[in-house]
Amino acid sequence: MTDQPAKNTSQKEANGIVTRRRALMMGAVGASAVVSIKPALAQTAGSVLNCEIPIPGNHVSGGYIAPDGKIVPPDTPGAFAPQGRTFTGEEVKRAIRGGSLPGTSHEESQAYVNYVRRLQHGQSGFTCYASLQMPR
Amino acid sequence: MSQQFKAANPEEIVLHMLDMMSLVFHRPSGLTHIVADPIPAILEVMQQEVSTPAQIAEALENNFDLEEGVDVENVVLARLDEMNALGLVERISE
Repeated sequence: MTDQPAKNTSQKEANGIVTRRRALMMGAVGASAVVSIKPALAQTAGSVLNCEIPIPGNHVSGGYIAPDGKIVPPDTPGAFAPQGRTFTGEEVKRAIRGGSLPGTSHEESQAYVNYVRRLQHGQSGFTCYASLQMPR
Repeated sequence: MSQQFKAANPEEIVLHMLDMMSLVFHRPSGLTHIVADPIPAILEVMQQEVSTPAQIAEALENNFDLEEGVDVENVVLARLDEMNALGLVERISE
């Protein structure tokens, strides 16, 4: 943090053209810049059911999905190769209640559901999965 | 401070600028976030590159008029942490 650029002057002054850059309010480290809207109505309507859970998410990077949902090295016996498919909240919800994800075998679907259950904050699909469990 | 971040794919996000704020709709979660400066600017300078907070801070200093005396890099890191929790950016490495 010691190598600050010289000064925030307009870059095109050299050409004789002065373009003013937009002023940007940086705020403070502890001042949050986000307010999330989680409207109760939107949850009951389409948004939760239409949100998407990639299976697997891009944090998995090539691993297979074991029956218990854990990520295991490629070609582990009994584990499923990542298909890179995306399921909607509605599809996952039905699978959690005992159905199967569309286009998957029962065992594959169970592995994927277990994978979704293991999702953590910050991983692709977590927010969608979390919102499925919010009370209506 | 070698943490690296990457913004979500453009097709996962709808960004709508209002006067003082921006709305970000995140398709995978179906959630909408109201965001203030400097978040839209951070997403703008990151594009799809894997970036460190220092690189983003430098890009902001080159592209915007910033207030004096602000610890830009640490503010950027704090905002990246917020966005990481929401899926708007992804932490690539610690």
